[in-house]
Amino acid sequence: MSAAADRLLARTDIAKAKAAAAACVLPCKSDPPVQALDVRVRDTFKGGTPVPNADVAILPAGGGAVILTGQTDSSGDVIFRLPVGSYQVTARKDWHGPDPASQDNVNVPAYGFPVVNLVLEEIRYHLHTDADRDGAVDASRAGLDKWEWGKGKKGAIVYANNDDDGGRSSPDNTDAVINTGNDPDDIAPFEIRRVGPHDPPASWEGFLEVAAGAEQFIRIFDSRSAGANELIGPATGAKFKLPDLKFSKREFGIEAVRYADSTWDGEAMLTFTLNANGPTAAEQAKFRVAPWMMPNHLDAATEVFVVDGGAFNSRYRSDLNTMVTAAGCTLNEFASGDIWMQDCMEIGFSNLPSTGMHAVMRNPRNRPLKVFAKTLLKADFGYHEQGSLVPSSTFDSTGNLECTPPVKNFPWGRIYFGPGRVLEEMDDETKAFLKQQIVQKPIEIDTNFLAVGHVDEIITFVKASDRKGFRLLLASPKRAYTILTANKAAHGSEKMMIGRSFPAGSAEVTIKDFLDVGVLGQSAASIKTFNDNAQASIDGVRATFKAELGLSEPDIIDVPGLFIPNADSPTFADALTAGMVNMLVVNGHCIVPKPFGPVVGGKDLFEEDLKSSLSSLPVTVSFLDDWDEYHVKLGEVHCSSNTLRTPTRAKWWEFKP
Amino acid sequence: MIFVRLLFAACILCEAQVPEAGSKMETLVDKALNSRGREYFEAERAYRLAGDLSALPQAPSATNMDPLSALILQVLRQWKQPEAQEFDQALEYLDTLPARIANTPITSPSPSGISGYLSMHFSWRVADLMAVHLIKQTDWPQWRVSGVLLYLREQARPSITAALIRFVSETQDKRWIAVALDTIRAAQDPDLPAKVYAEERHAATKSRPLPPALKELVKPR
Repeated sequence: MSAAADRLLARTDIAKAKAAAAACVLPCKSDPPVQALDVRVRDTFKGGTPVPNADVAILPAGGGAVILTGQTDSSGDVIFRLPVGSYQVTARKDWHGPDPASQDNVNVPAYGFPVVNLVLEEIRYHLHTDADRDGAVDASRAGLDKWEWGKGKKGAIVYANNDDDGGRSSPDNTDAVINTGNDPDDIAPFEIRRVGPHDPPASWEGFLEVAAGAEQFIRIFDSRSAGANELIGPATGAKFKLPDLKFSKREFGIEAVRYADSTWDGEAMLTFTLNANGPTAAEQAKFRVAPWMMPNHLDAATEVFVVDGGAFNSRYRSDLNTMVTAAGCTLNEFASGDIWMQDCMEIGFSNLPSTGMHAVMRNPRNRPLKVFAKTLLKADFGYHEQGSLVPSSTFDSTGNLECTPPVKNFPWGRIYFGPGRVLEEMDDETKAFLKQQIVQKPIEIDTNFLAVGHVDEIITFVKASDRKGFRLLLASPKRAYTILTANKAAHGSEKMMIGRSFPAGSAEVTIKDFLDVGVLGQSAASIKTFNDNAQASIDGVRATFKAELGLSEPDIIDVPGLFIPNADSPTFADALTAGMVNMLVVNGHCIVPKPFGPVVGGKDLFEEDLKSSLSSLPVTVSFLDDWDEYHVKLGEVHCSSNTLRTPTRAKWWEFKP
Repeated sequence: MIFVRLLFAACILCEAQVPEAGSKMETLVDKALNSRGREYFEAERAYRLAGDLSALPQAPSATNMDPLSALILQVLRQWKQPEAQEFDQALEYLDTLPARIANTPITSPSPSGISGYLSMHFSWRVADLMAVHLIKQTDWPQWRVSGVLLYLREQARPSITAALIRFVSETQDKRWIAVALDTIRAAQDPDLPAKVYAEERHAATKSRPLPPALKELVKPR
C-alpha cells in the first residue's frame, strides 16, 4: 500500500475510533484509541525531493529496542500505527547522511496523527580530471576511465616532471615533494568533489590507489602547492587512505616519474574507492604521461653547443661562432677532451595542455661528455637518462638519432636511427623508449655500411618553400663520381683534397689519378667498387625514406661525397672527402663541412654542386673547414655540435596512432 | 690430464729431452691446458719464448686426447710456425683497437668490423688461436668476445668446434651462444659427436649438465 493510501486509511480509522469513543456513555467499554505517525523523509539539498526506500525505525523515546520498522515509498513517506507514547524516529539510507537522521521525543497522542519530517541528503564523491585536455579540471566525468588519442577524445595527461624548478640539481620528479619555483605548474591536477552539502558520517572511508607496480611510475601529491607531499608513489606505495572526507572539493597533484619506456606503457589507472559504512563505490580515471619528443632541423634554433678543446679546435670554434651568430644563435662552449658534442645528448621537449618544457636525454654513451647533458638541467629544462652506460655501441650515440620534418600523418615528424649491427645493436631500452613515445614513430635506417654508423653521416633535411616543405639530402658517391668523371678529360690534372692528409698519408690527388690510380694506398678500382657498394646502401636508405615519408625524387637532393674503407674495420666506410651532408642546419643556415673536393678554376666542384642544388631553397650555405679537427677523426660539423631548438607547442594528444 | 702427462713423458723419452727443460715444458703445457685467464696467457707466452716444439705430444688427433686439449696443443705448436707472426699481428690489432678509436665517434670497437678485418688480413689462419683465446680469456670486454665470435663464424671450420662447444657450455649470453652454435653447424665437423660427448664428460666432472643446445647438435635427424 502506498503511503498516501495508508495515510487516508489511518485518518479514517482514527476518525472512526475517535467517534466511537465519543459516542460511548460511561461507563462503557470501548476499544483502545487509534493513532498513527506520518514520517516524511526529504532531501533538502535537492529541493526537498522525497527520499524513497529509506529505512525508518521507531524506537522508544531516548532510544532502546526497535519497535517498528518501515520503508519510505516513492513519495518519501511511510505511515506507522502506534500506541500512545513518546518515540524516537530514525531514518537512514545508503549514500545519505546523516546516518541516521533522527527525531526524538515524538509524542503520539490518543487519536493523534503527527507528522515527522526527517532530512536525508545524498552524499557522493567523484573523481574529476582534465580529461578534455584544456588545462582545467572538468565538471564532466564521462569517459574518465579511458585514454583515447585524437582531437575531441578524452584522457588526462601528466608530465614526466624532470626539470629542476627547486634548484636541487636533480629532476623534480626524483623527490617525494612538490618543489618551489614554478614546479606546481608542472603538476597535473585532479580533484575529488563531493555532491551534497554536508560531511559524510565519520565512518566513511576514501582510498586512492593505482595498480600494484604503477606507483613506480606515477606520483600523487596531497595538493598542487610547493611542499606538497607524496601520497602514492615510489616512496609511499600504491594505495592511500584519505584521512577524512570533510571536504566538498579537494585538489591533488600528479606527476610521472618517467616517460613511457620498455617497462611502462605510459598509462596509469587511478582508482578512487569510497566505503560508505557498508556499500562501496569505485571510480577510475586514466592518465597518460606526455611523450618526450624530438625537434627537427627545421625548428627554430637558439643555441649551439660545441666542445672547447683548447688550442686543438680554437680556429674551428671561432669560425663556427661567426656562422652560428649569423644564424641568430649563440655558441655555448664546454671544455672537455671528448669532442663529439652531437653524440652525448638529444634535446627534446614535452608538454601538457597548459605548459611545456625542454628535456634533454642522456643517451647510453660512456664517454666524458656523458656528464654534459645534466649541466643543462634547470627550471623548465628537464633531464632524463635512457639506457645503461655500459656496454654501449656507436649506434647509441645521438649523432645516430634524428627526426624528420613534419610529414603526412606525423605532424612532428618521425624519429630515425640506425639500429646497429649484429652483437652491436643500438641499446634495446633506448629503442623501446623512442618507440613508446608513439607520436614520432621511429624509422630504422640501415647505416651498417658506415664504420661510425650514424645517420647524420649520410642524411639531413633542409627547409623548402614548396612540395613537402623540405628536402631530404643524401650523401651520394654516385654524384661525386659523376662530377669527377665529367671533369676528367678537361681537368684531369686538377687536384682534390689539396693539402689534406690522413694518418695514413697525404690525400691530395689529381682527378685523373683518383679515377685511374687511386689514393691512400687503395686502387682506383677498389675505391670505385667500395663507393658503388656505399651508394647501394644509400639507395636503400632512399627507398626507406620514400616509403616511410611518402617522398618522391624531386624531394631528394644528392650531395656529392666519397667514401673509403675504415682502417680498422675495412668492410665499413669512412668519409673520404668531408661529408657535406653531415652539416649543421640552424634557422635556415647550412653550416657545411668544407669537402675539399676537386678544385677547377679556383672553385670546389663539390661545393658548387651543393650550392647549386640548394639555390632555389630558402637557405644559406657556408662552408666550414673541419678537416684536421674532426674529419680525420671520422666526424664532421654536425658531429661536433648540438643544438637547442624551440619546438612548436604540440597538441600531441590529437595524434592518431 | 694424467693421460696428457703420460704422452708428454713419452715424448720426452723418445725425443731425448734434457730433463730440466722437459720438466719446465711439462709445466708450461700443463698450465696451458688447465689454466685460464692471466695464468694461461703467461704460460702461452713463456712457451713461445722458451718452448721446444718437439716437447709437445705429436699428432694429437691420432691419440685419445680430448679434442680441446688437442686444439690448445695445436695452437702452441703454431706459435712455433711462421704463422706466429700473423698471430702477433692479429693480437696486436685487437689489443690496440680501443686506443685507435679513442678519438673517433666510435665508442666501442665494432665486432663486425673486427671480423671483417681479421678475415681480410688473415683469412682462417688465426682462427685456431682466436678460438683458444676465446675460451681461455676471463676478462675480455664484450666487443672483443663478440668480434672474435663473429670472426670465427665467418671462418667456420672443424678445428675450432671444440673450443666453441666449450664456450657454449660455459657462457650465459644467449646471443653469443646463438652465434657459436651457428658457427659449429657451419663448420660441418665430422667429429662433432665425439667432441660434444667429450664436452659432456668434461661437464660431468664439473657437476654441470651439458646444455641442451649442444645435445641438439648431435641428435640424429
